[in-house]
Amino acid sequence: MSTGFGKILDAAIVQLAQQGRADGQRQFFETYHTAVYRLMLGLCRDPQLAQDLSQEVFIKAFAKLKQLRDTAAVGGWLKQLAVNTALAEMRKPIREYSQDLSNEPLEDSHPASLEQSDWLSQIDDIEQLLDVLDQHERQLVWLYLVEGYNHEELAQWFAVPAATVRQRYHRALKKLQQGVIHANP
Amino acid sequence: MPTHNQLSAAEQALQERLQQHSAKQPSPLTWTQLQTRRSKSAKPFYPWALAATVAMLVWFSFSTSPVTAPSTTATPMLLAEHYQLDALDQRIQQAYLRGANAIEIDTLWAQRERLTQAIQSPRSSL
Repeated sequence: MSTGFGKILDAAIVQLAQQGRADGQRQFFETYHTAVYRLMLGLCRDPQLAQDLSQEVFIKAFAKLKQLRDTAAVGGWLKQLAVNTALAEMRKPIREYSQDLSNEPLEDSHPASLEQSDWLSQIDDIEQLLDVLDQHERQLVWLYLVEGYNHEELAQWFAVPAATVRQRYHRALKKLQQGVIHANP
Repeated sequence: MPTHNQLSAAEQALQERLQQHSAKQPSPLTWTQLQTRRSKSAKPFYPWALAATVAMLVWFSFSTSPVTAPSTTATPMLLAEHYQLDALDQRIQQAYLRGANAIEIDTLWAQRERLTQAIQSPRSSL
């Protein structure tokens, strides 16, 4: 499923936006604002903050659009800008996550049913389930599963080794699986 | 995007639920709101106009090029045109905010383009 950043915007429209033309900028905005907002909401979970950050993304985009050489890549370029903006806003020191990992041992075993494709069938509210994750874990899960970044790319975003990203991601999955157990004892 | 052959069945299920959940979230953003925010965060033009005027005054005071008209006539013209440009930018912003039609907006943009070209074109009096 496309996240919306894959929408094609005519090169002529992108060039108009690069020239500062309001008609081009408006079409650029109308094409991508939903994708930007959903990305922000997925990362920060706060609709008001997501709205503020989304507007900030477009203001930055209009200022930097001239730097874009390949107009066909405008969707991917905007997505990178959006993720950068979100993570800069919500960044926490990495040492805090290291402490979290050592202080919260997780059960290593859970019912095999949670490895199946219907493990979420009893969960009505996925947002409530996501409450078990901290902000960083949610960002990893969202960026990996919804926005399509791989662990190596995430490692660059968060300035940690890819192995650390994999560990934190799988820890987040375990927490979600435990969340399902607690929701359906 | 992580391909399905890389994800476990549990991960695929979670991915699908998250994508479905995301797809249900409408964006509250509007172009008008964005324009309002941009106009609030835009830096005032006047300090730049003043700096440009000062720079032009300094340049003219040291210029050795022949002058066929009093040098002070060029500087007020440049200042006036920059003020006109700023006023026109404000009119364009207001036109978008009040939902003006495309014809009016296009007319304003055309005026801006002519004014910009007039500012950038070399002046024969210099």
